[in-house]
Amino acid sequence: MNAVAQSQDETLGQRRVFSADGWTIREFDSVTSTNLVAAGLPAWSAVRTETQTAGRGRFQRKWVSDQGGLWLSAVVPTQPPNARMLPLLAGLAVCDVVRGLGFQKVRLRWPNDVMVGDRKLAGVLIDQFRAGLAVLGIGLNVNNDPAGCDASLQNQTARLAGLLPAPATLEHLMLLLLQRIRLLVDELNGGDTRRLLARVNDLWSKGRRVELDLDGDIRRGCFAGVDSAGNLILQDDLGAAAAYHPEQVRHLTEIPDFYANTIPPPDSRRGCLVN
Amino acid sequence: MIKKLRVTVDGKSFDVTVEVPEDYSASPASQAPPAPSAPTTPPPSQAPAPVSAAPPAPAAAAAPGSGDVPSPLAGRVIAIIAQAGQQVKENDHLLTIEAMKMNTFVFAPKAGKVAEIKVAVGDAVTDGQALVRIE
Repeated sequence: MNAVAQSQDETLGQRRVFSADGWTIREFDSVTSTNLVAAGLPAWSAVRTETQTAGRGRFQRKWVSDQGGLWLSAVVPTQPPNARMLPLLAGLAVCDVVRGLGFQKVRLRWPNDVMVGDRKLAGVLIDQFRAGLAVLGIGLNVNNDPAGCDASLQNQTARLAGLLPAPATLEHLMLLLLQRIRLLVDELNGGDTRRLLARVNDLWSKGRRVELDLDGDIRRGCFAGVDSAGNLILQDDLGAAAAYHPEQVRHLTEIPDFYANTIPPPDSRRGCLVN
Repeated sequence: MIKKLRVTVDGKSFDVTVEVPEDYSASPASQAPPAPSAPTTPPPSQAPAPVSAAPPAPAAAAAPGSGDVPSPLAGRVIAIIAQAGQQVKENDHLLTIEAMKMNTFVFAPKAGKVAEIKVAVGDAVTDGQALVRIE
């Protein structure tokens, strides 16, 4: 199957194409969005760029992709019943790599923001442009300076350079991440969702107070992970748990620990089981 | 088969061309039953124990009506490309479903006229729910 190279006019300076660890990797100086470049590529293709001119976030938000960050898309094969696990798998892959490099205090914010404290280290956006294939788009702050590009990100982001004594090169990080993704996707497609889910559930800050926006209907409680059906579990202040389908949840907001610690909790933290 | 997609980024549209493998039609066949309307009861422990690894066995799903295009997964409609009354070709991009920051593009399973669009942008849809009817 020969993929049609697309959006080529949107790309600048394809540096090289090479193969490593079972992946075919294309590197660019600049593209609109690595996911769009990857849209026409076969499974186990990857696209990395130095900068993105139209990096995408959720709800049509922009994703700042300045020089020095890892902007990567990986095309993986999917099987319908397990495809819904992919968003969780992508976050797990990033956490595994960062931990493998020696920084342990990385965590997930539902569904797959990779966080250090209350700062975002990496984000994920997935596109299933075709049946049977998914493009995992991953943005990881490494040496870049998102807040320098967008002042509203001040104190909102973390980067690897600030976490590790000697951060790996972008290429090395890419290869580590692709190896990890391959391993996890093979595990997922092999049917072992249980082990994957258990590992993902270890990466949340459980007991963290959150607000769920269910189309304007706001529910507050303590985040308690994801069940085997993919539902988000919220514990209310009395400890009772409720499950929400992911599609019900328009947005999850973490209530900053700052407020939890400074404002006398009326009934807030009572009843929350905290790790 | 070559197919064109329109992806909107930050209000700007990009046209993307992709090639679809011949066995495309194999995939939408696996219609899991619609998700239960009530959330599943979580385990009492704080961390929900991942009990059943396997997804529920696909019982005979309530077959959508003839010409109905089912949603491939539960999610939220974030874009509708097709318009009622429009003629579409097989594999034309009809709409996009989002769940957990994963966008899934939904295509016409056959050529025909878009008789009805059964969902609106922002709607939450279940796995297998009819999205569009093509005559």
